[in-house]
Amino acid sequence: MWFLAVNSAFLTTVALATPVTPVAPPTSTQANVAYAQFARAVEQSGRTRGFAVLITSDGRWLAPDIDAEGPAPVLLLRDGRRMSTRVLANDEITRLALIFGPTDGATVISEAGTLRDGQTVWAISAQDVHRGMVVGEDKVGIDEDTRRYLPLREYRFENLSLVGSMPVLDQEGRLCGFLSASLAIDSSSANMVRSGQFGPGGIAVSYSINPTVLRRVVSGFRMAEPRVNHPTIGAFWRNYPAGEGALVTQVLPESPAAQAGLQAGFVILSIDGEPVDNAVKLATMLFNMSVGDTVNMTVRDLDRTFTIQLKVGANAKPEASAQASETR
Amino acid sequence: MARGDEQLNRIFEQGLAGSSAEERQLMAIREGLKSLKTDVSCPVEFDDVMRRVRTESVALPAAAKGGLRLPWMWGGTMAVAATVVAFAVFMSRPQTAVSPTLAVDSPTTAPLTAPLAAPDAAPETDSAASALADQPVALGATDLDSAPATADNPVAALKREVANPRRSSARRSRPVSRPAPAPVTLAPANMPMARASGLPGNAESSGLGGSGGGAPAMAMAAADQAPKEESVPVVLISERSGPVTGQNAAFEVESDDVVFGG
Repeated sequence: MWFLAVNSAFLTTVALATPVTPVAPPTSTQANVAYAQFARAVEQSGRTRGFAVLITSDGRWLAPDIDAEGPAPVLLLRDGRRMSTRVLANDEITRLALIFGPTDGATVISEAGTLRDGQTVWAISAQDVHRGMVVGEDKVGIDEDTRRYLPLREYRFENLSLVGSMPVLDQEGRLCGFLSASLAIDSSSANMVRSGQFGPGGIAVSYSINPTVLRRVVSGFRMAEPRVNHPTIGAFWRNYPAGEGALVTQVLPESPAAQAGLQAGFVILSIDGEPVDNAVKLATMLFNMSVGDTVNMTVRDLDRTFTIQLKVGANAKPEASAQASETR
Repeated sequence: MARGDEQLNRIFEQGLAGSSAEERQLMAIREGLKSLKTDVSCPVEFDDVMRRVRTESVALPAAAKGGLRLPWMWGGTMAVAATVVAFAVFMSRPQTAVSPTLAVDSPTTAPLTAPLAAPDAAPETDSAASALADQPVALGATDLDSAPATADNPVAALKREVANPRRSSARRSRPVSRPAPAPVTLAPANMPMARASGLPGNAESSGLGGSGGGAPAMAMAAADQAPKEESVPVVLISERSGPVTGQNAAFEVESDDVVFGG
């Protein structure tokens, strides 16, 4: 019996250690089809920087802003022509740009639904279509520049030759996001990863915004006057180390938070009765609010615990008034 | 030598055909001995075979030692299983495959290990506030270079602190025992030195004014002194170039080290 048990454990371990998804070698045909249907290359100075995908039939293309820098990024069409486009809007939170250009017969792409752990996705590059896999649930992301919270999706691709910020499609050809960042690892960890679980080619761990945020951006870009409204209160916060809550470290002047009376040093305990366990929880709650919502925020300052009423604004613009009602 | 033996020798040596009953009996024994002699030659051949087998067994030990095959298989299986189980346990540790601390020694992160500027050294809260407040709210703004310089931007200073993966690594590996929480609520209010700490977002330094004297700085001082709660990994998206050409770098840091904004 013990021998059977050990052998079962051995076989189970071997099965788990085996790469999950056998990767079919991509073909140039796949890349061509994907390029023809979904994407157009964005060029700068004659070099391909990334790809744009068509989100409306009137010629609105979605692309990472890093690839669409400048007032007139160049779109490489299927027949080799290069067309100047115009940047209609930027969303600095998700770093996506809306550019206007010829449709070139491309398929208008829709946004993907929820992504499951282990789901197969495809990334389009200039040379190939790369098969990858969704890993885990949403990751807590934060933009180093704006400090804004961004729910991210993590992907793993068994190919380290990925180049550029590529659109990621699910198996139905719907847009999951753009690979805009990749995990920085040193050579030793790369070797460990290669020899560990992910095959001889190694992996690339890349991130895109999650489909929920993507839908928010695309729906904003599809409006007549393209605009993306991310909820904001105009404050910075971090984990409160002495207990639960989020410690406010900075309040922007004339922001909704400032107008509500929120100050640096306050500890946010709950919002509309829902406890704020930590800084991540507050960021998540805020991100899921809608612009214009009015919330009751319970805060503590020294020995005082009181509630302030705060109207959620958009993109740090001081467009909300707030009232503070102190309840000692 | 016994008489019978002498007779046998004579029979074998001379090949005599027995005539007497005794000789016939001896002949019968001779015939039997002949067959026995054939059998006697077998051990020699067997030895040859064994010698050849032993010679070949040097190259093919498994073939020659068939009797030991099953135990060796069991032992080998056990060894492989133990190794694989140990490896699986090792690989199943949290964040082993893509540990954020593994990026610490990357040359691109080397400047982040520089000592952080004291909070008093970065009191330009107004510029920090304007940095975020002036972000193009109306989409369409394309000037991505309008952000203030990092040296003058307290937000960037905080960012520098957060992006220090070496610090995260040290925190992760420190002992479990931690100091007692700082007595936040028992500290005296209106502490001028604390208020003048110049921390980012301080209402006084930002010109916002307001009441609650001493609370912000004291609470944030407690943030630096009190023990840290369990932190969750946060993916920090940087503007630096990542390992994939054309993509930004991402680092995993602990949420305790991160200042969120929104």
